[in-house]
Amino acid sequence: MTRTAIVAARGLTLRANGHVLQSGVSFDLKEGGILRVSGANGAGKTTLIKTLIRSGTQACPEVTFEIPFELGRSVSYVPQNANETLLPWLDCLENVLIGLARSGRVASPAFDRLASTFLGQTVCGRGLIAVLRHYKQEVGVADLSGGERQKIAILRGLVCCPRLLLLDEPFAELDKDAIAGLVTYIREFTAAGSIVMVTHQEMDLDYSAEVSL
Amino acid sequence: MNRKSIGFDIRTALILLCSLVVWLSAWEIFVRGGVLMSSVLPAPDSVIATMFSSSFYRNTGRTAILATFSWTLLAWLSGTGLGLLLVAAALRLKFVTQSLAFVFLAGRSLPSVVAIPIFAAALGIGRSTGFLCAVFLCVCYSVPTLEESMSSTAASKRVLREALGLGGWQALWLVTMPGIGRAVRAIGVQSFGIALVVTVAGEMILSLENTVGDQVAKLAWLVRMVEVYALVGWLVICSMGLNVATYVLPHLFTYPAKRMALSMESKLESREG
Repeated sequence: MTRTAIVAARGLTLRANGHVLQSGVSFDLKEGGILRVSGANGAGKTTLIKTLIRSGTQACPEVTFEIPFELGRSVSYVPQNANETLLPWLDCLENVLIGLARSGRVASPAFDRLASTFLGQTVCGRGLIAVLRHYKQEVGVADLSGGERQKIAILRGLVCCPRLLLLDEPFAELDKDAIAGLVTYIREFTAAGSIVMVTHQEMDLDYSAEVSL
Repeated sequence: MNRKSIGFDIRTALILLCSLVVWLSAWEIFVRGGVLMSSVLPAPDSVIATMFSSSFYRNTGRTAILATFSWTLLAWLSGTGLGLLLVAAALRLKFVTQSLAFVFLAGRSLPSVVAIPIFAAALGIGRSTGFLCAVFLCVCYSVPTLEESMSSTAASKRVLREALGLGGWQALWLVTMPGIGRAVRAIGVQSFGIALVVTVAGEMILSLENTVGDQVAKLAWLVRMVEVYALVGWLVICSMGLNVATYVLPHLFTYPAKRMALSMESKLESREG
């Protein structure tokens, strides 16, 4: 383990439903770096992220965090099929706002640029609240398309301005512009934070480490 | 509720209203034309006149409707509350669902009126028998809907706690309560109808004094059909009123979630300001 590593894992065993999927998983994620997690379906990519979350909240000798692990504050997780985790009884604005439930910090200008791309309107001029309040108001969250829901779920995960981002298949269901916007955001985000990202897609990003399962 | 669904609800309500008017007009014409015997099936205008005549309402309607609806509401609230407790227990202890599954299946398969003599044979004739019967059937009807809704709510709560690190109370207000509210609305219409039918049928079978069931049985015996229909009319109006009131339920359950989400708005506003 090096001092500059924000997350370090040594000989980690990945288990799902009592079965061992992988053992001896090791990596170092340095500050400002992106760890790419790849592998076949069922290899344990999502399990790796969930194991990291468990390690952050419970004592786990195999994983070390150099930042305080506080979900929704210093660490944010955008799960796979995040679009399915939106709450249908809240509108788009309210769904994004609950991302701030535990956070004292609020998103950066990079987040505003991402929101502008995702929502198709300039957020800086009108203000994020005003844009989100009227975004697809006529249909409601439950009737949004899968891609539109994914965008709202990603914004909810990023609004708290975390230091460590755990992204599980974030590009799934996004259109070309949204993918480009998210790639730009990820590049800007790494100036101050680190990312663990599960993805099958080849993106124009500089990965500082890679785990192939 | 979004604008699209409000528009759909208004259209449905208008279609139902038009159908009702057409049906009542045809009934009126048939009675006036002598096709239907007015002593057996009185014309709608005389039924409506009886419903709103002060002597009928004061002497018969008010007491009977109040008695029946208070029992029905009590049975519905107790049945749904008990169903909620059972499902909450079943989500933690699987054997509760497995051991009670056959009872709920039997309850749903059994015609509601048949349940009354069975309960009466076991517990004797009296108000408590009718009440227990209505509670039993409400539980049977509410449990499957609540079970489905609460397990999906528990799954979303788990994912959101994992993703956003929501605390126990935050998860309760944001996820659990609104999830239950939707289910309560769904079972409200279904099991409230059951509770009403069982209560009225129970009142008739058990001859409970000054209730709608008892009054209907007595008036029908005396061939005072206008008053029978007037009582049924009040029953229908009150049921419709309660049905409309259940639309408010999900809003009550989601209010804390909305308040909590909007309380975060100030954090964003302070940055934008």
